[in-house]
Amino acid sequence: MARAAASEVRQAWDCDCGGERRAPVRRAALSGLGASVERMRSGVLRMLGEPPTSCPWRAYGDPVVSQAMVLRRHWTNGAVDVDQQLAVVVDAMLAIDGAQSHVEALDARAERDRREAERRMSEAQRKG
Amino acid sequence: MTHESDPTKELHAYVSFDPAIDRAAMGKDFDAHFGATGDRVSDIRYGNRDKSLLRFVAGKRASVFVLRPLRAYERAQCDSLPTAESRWLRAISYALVRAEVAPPLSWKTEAIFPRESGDSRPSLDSDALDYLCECVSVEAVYEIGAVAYARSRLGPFVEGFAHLPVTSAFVLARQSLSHADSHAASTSGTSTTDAV
Repeated sequence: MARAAASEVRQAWDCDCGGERRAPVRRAALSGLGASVERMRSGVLRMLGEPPTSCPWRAYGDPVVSQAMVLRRHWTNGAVDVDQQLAVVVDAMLAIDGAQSHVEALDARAERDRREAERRMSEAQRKG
Repeated sequence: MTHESDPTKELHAYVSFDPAIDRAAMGKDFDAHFGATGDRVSDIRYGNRDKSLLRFVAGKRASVFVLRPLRAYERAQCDSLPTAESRWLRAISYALVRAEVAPPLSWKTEAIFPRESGDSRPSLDSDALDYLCECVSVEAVYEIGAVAYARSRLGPFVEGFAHLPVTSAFVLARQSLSHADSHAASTSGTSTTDAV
């Protein structure tokens, strides 16, 4: 995935970046770039409840998203008065913050489950 | 993304029932631009306010309202009000940068600006709001206020974000009936008389 050309990755996301909609890479592929993107897409759907409608580059190119990311950085540092910011950007920032918190909580739960499974396995081995 | 679909930029908004707007020439683009109401929730369509979809009647000038995006504290003040109409009025009083009103929507040609007030951002006070309502009708002010308020929330700005207030739908229906009456009278060649 990391070695794939950027144009191929965008193609795999089936996004119309650059104005031209390209034929998507086979999404049903069991391996390769198409499968990696499909796993990411289904992961986002599972975690956040909605599938991504574009590739990540296009999302970052959205003026509301880019302003929300900048605002979030300043907000985290306590360097900005949120009330004075554009309402739509504040909404987007809170949505991004909520999504990240949700994903972090899922990651933490998965990590806890993994440790619990390891602990049980080691206990079982000790008893056995 | 067009300028109109970027909610962080200023928007040039037009009123759906402005007689300078050529509804017939716009066709389906009318609903795409202004939105549409319906009896069922599924019939409601949100307008994208994309200026490229507009068509104007030749020789007539449409009134235009320039809106800036609302700040978080301004939207919070709108949210605190009890009715949709009061929120729209508050939203337009904050968001209006300039209104260039002209006949046939308004009874006079004029540019209206919000007044500077101390250290806060310029906003329309109640007198200016009343004057604007006198010029272009309260229904027009409601519609523009609804656009300003809808733009302050996250939404699919390219596909459509602003709904058409029922007050505007009533005016559009009234205009359609009025056109139908005048058309019928002109084609039948008979004059109508008011009952006394």
